[in-house]
Amino acid sequence: MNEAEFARGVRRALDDACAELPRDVTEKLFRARQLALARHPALQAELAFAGPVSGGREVSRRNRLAVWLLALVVAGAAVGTSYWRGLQRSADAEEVDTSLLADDLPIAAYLDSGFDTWLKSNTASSQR
Amino acid sequence: MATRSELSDFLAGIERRAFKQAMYALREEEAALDAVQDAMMKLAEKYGERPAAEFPMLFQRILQNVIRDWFRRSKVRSIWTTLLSNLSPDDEDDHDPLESIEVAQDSPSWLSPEQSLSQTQVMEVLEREISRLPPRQREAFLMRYWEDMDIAETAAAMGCSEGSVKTHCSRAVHTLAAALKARGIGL
Repeated sequence: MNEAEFARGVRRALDDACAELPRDVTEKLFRARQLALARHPALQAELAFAGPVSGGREVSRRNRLAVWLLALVVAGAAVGTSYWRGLQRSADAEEVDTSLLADDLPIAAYLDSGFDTWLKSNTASSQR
Repeated sequence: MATRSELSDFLAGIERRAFKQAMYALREEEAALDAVQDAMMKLAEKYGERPAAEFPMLFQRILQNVIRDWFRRSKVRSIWTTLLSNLSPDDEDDHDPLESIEVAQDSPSWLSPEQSLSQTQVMEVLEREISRLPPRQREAFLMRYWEDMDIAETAAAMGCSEGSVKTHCSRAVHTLAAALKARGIGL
């Protein structure tokens, strides 16, 4: 008997042994196969896209609308903040002008460099 | 590219033989089932979309690696057990679970020597002798002659040369043939 003939005999015997596996083993093998097939890349890809596929267009339209609304809100907030700051600056300037005009000290005194030096030295000495 | 149903067909066709292969190597049913499941999942996850023709070679390579990993983990877990079993090779035959369980259960004492061995007994002896083969010889023999893989595929799955595959197969055949002949079994 040569190698190939012998191998055929062995193969027949092994195939017979395989056919007589206990039921619990074959059931476990079946479950193992199902688990493995659940990991097939094609199925994984299907699962990953299962959500968007059902209402994908609707979801993307809603997303775009939300982005536009958000952008509008941000732009409105920026314009509002800028306008409010302008008003605030005008009010501050107005207040300064009013206090300058209403002050007993003449405006020309603020333009006098000597007065400015005296004001600084006076402030420094009062802080000590 | 293989489809999911091609992979399913392949796994359905190979699962029993894969379990037996793992049993010959690991000799523990639960470990063998775990090894087959692990190999199936790795094949599906990493190579599931490769051409179906590559599945046998890839699966065998994964299965053999899983079996080797099991032995490595087993060694780490119980070094002392492995050490003891390596120190007493003569006792190995006496403690072979396949021999002690299956033969004891299924070889009735009233069978006379003249009666031919039943097919079941032939299978038991054959399976025991296969599990006793050196791992590389067993792998090469089963892949070549049971999985119908050619020499190149077997060499690729085993990560060795084609010459080594031929050598392993030839030695396995001679060892098995001698063992069966010594027990009066002809195939």
